[in-house]
Amino acid sequence: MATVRTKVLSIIVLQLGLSAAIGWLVRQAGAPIGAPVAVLAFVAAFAVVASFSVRLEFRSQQVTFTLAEAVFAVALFVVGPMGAAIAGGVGEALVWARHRVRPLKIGFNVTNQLCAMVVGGTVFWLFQPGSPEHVGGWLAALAATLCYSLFNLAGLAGVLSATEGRRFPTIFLQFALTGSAVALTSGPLGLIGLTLFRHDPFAPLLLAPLCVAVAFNNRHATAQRDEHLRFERLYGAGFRTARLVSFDDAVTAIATEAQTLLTGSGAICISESATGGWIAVQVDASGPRPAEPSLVRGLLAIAYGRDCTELAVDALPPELRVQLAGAATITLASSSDGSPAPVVLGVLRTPVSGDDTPESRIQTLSAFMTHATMAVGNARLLGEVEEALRQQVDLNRQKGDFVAAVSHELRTPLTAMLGSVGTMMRLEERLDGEGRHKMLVMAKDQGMRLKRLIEELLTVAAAEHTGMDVRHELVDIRRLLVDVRTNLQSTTAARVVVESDAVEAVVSDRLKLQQILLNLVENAGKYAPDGPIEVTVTESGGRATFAVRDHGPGIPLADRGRVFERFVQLDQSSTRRNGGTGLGLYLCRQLAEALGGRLDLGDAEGSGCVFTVTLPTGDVTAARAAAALRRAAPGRVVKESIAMSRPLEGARG
Amino acid sequence: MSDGSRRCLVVDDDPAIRDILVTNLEAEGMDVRTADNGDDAVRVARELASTLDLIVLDVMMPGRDGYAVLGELKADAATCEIPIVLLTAKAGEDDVWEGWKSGADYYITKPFSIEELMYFIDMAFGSTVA
Repeated sequence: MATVRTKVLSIIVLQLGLSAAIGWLVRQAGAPIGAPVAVLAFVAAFAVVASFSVRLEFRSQQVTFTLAEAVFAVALFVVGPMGAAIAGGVGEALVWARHRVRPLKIGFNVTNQLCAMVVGGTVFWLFQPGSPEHVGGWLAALAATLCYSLFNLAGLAGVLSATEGRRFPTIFLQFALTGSAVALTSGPLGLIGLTLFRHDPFAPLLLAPLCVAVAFNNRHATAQRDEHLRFERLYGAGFRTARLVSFDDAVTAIATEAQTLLTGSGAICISESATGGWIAVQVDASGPRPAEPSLVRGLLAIAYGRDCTELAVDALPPELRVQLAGAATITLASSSDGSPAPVVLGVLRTPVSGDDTPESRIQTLSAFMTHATMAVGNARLLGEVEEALRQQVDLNRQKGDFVAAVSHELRTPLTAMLGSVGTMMRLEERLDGEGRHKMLVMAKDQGMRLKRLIEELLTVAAAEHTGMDVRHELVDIRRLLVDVRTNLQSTTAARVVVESDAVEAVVSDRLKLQQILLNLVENAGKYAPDGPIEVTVTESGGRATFAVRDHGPGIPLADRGRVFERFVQLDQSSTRRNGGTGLGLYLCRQLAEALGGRLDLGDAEGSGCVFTVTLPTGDVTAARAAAALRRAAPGRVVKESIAMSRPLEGARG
Repeated sequence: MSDGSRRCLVVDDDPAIRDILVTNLEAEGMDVRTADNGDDAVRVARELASTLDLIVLDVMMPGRDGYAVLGELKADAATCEIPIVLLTAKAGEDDVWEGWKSGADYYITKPFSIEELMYFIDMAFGSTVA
């Protein structure tokens, strides 16, 4: 705020000083002021004429033109250059007093008008013109009018350049062409009137119909042109924001377009990304940047889900006022509450930006909001599509890796199987009885290894690609652990120490749970050749935890993340000796996730390692009741049990 | 085999494959040594050096893999003359090319037949035995 006010105030002071200096010098040199009554009459004329202002727009820059040039040309001859300047300045002040705008804006416009008229008057006086009937007089009046108009526009361009950071030559050139054209048509109109008046005081009335016609036509044309330009700009902004870009780029583009659309000094676009966070971009003369979180929170609180509105920055809460320093008003629009792609848009304007009305800005921004919501929605969609594509590519690569690994894993036992048979065929009698037996056992072992590998692969494939059917049934923990033990090799089973008294039962899929525990205990048996294998079951907060702990060498910290990957065998030679496939832990984790739980490698104190399966206990009481019901009326429960077993989504975790 | 005193080193992390290779090579009267990882392979090869007539080397091994062992042995003047037969379960086009490029004398993909392997081993010795 301070910077813009300071800039405008310095321009006002500069203009006042300039007009005073020029006026004083020209007055010293003998320029006439004219009779006070005549000057007052011209003040009134300026005030009236300014009311019939015509707003023209040239390349998105709006400039207000009046018939002031005509009155100025006449005043130059009647009250002299200094009288005309004074009348113009005071007349302008009267017009602005009517507008409910900020004092700074009024101050600038009045001094700008006064200074431009003093400059124009001085040019006129330097020509030392004769009467308005002579060519010399006309030329002097036209030169003065042109200078007045150009100086006026230069002041306007200067203040816009200073406050909105745009390049002065660009703005000035945009104004100058239209400004000169209007000055050179409006000025002669006044001179024609004056010449007619000299012949007959009522003769200028002949021009009245023309003036009225022009004025009406202009108003009409202006209104239509405004509407047309608004559509054109909206269309352009909509077109430029409709491109498929990333979410952040879309938000930046919307802010930039909104700023241009409302000829603001800056803009903020806030939108909710697909991941749920608010993304906010603020643009101004220095370019786009992320908006301050406090500003974003404040604006969302004021605008989100509300109708489009324009607020004075001074009326905002103090913390927002500080953030928006430099701006006079903020025009706010929001997508409707509950929109799938929420957007809040704010356009900041300095005290001197443009001349259009708040109503037209609100209308324009509301209309643009439709585009903005669509653009953000599209950007989110694009992000989702790109993400889905990336996942597909990733999945495809994973599948490729999987196939390569499977091919490798299948080849090894196959080679050994073919090799042992081939050896027997090749060596025949050269192989003694013991050697032949060894080869036969090897062929069988490798065949079993291949069989187990294929079975596990099929289970993994089913889990990954078709999803798993998960039953929800009452699982008696004690019985489950007995079943696990009976499936183990006798040497391993003898080492298992169970502690499960804390939990009696859970609602889960018995076979899958058994498969997981069996795998974990077998693993413990393989990797920890000695010591007990402790299986403990505990319950806490509706979740049951099965821990399988061994006292073997444990797993190095660096390898801990990899144990659940497919075909990762940390100690391949020992795994192969035990007929492992490298799929066991991967499969266990898939199963645990299918059961709504998880499988983790915990921290074992001392040596060894501990794997924990955490599962929801489920509603054991209800399951017991259902089981009792099943015993009482077996026919009814078939349906219920189907309803309870559902295909599991997200088995891939 | 024409020469029974030939000495051979078999390197494979899979005990079954190792057993098969040993059985077949010993049946030919060879003196067979084994190693189940890359480090041991390099150590044994350096120890035996000039007395070693052939190395059968698996590619996929935990720790230092077959390519690394091959590179090290071929770079060492003491061992660079020993013929090496490379075994691998990787059968992609790139893998086969990688195997040939690596400087191995012979390259066999798993699964292979014993006849095929013995043929390559004989080629490595520079003599053919039925």
